[in-house]
Amino acid sequence: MTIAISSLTKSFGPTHVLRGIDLGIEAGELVALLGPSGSGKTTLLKIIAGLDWPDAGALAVDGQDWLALPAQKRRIGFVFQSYALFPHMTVRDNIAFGLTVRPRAERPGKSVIAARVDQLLGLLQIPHLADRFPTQLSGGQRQRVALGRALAIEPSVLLLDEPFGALDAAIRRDLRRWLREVHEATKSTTIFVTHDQEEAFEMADRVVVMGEGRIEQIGTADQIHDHPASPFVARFMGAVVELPVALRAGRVEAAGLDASALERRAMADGPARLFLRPDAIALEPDAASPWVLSHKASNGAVIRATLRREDGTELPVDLLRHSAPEVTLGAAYRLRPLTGAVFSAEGAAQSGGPSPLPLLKEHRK
Amino acid sequence: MGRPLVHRSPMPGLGLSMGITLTMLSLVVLLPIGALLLKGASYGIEGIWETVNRERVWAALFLSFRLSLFAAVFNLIFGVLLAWVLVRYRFPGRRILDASVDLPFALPTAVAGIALTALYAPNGAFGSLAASIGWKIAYSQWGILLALVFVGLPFVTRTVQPVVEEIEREVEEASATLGATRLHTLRHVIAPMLAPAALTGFALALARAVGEYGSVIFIAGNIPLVTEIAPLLIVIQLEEFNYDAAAAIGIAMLLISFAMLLVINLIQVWSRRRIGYV
Repeated sequence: MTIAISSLTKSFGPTHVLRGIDLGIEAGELVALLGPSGSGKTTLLKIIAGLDWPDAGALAVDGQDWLALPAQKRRIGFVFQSYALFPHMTVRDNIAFGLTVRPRAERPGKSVIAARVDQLLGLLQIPHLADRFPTQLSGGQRQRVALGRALAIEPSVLLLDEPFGALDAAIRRDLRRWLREVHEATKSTTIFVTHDQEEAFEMADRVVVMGEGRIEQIGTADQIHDHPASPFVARFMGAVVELPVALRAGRVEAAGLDASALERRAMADGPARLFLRPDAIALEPDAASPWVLSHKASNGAVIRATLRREDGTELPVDLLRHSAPEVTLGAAYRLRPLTGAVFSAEGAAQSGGPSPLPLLKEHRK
Repeated sequence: MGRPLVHRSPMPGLGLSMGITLTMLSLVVLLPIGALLLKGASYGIEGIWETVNRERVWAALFLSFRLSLFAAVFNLIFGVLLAWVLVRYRFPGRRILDASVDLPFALPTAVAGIALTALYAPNGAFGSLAASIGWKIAYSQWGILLALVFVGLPFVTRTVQPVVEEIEREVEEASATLGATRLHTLRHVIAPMLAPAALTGFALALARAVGEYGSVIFIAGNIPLVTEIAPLLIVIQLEEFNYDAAAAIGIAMLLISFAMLLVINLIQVWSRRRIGYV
């Protein structure tokens, strides 16, 4: 099923939750909607599911207008963050629910339903839980039942809202790999919502980064990592070091900054802002630099260092303990960023607006 | 060493609280019922049967339990609906309506009976309307039903309300995404979740209606064989200093009530086992 979303907007009172969403999703694709809370990603998912309606815009699936269809007729599988299992039904009845509610004419026979449930229980690796009630299951097991219930109706689109949000880290890792396998096996078009970058990049074919009701960027993990399309994406991806710089002939310049590892970019001269990740900065001793090492602490693998300028500005730098050269407290260092993103000063000020894509060099050693 | 190992419960004060509870239960509930049964025993089973096996007593018992059942059924349906509306919808005056549900608890039942009678008597505000289409409410069995509905309503609403609050809206949404119609969601998802609480409320409303006296005697008209309820018959016997007969009717009511509540409890146990939760 291909999904085409265009110019979707939605407000709750004075709050604009979606400010014009355009998105196309191919059949069989696994797409992540990634963004901080309040970015509108769950609302978008609910609109696709038919559990919420937009103020304006269009939603078509295989050319059919889905905004004219109620949720019951869309044949989607929706996995809720809270799982929303039916507490008075066994695991088996929960999974069979979508099949048993069909009108008599379309309903498969009892034995067909039982066989389908058994097959799903196998796929979910929970055949031994078939006769338990939801309250007797752990979080991870509930998650599997919720997914099984959604898959039972052979959904045209599978939608998952923060599927692993309530689980602990180890189970989360297992389920991620397992969900990816289930997707390979079922090949259903899948969209999931998450605020966890690692989860989004590890599982999805494509990641849609959302912020404040807009799509900020669509791409693969590497594309978004290396070429963030806006200051918002750069910050969200962990580029928390923000430096005011001057652009001259396509190069960024600032006191104590050695930008020679960054590629020249086709931008007009003038003030700009440089966004850096703390782990993509190398330090080189330079007595003339205004940046002084004021603090360092090691967690075994990484040394977290803090550099301080005379005016009180501080910035964090993460150095690999075994490969980075030794640094000493109180010494002055020059920053040598390995990658970074540059946005013109105006673009950086308003986080949402469109910004030119900077031409960046790949990670250099 | 030397001290015997005592298996202690981690909950403190179990012995003390158990003792107080049992003492209170005995004083407040078991002792009066025991006294009633003792009185009956001195009267003898044949004496009880002779007292009860009269047309007027049977009519009163049948009337009391029949109308109590009708009132409880009405309260079951309307009370669940009211609980649903109070929890799920936001409308002006909701809090006032919510608070007023408890009024039948607080109002002296005689006041309620007099107020209902004033409204529904043939010359009252609603009574005259009903009379114009030939419907007599006060001083008929309709009046008794009305009073019993009034005093029993809060039980169902107040037991069901917290359960409605706990139902996640996502459970209904999940049902919808799986293709269930609204009616199907209501029947197969919502209703089973509300059933245990609704049944408890039903039992409470029923028990209350069976024992109700104050509000009913004002609106019933109290015509023997037609609108005379069993509790009134007991009071009449007492006023005639016929204590044995009063105890006999009391024991009859006790037995029937006990049987009904036992059946409701069994239904609850059965439904809990069947759906395995709550």
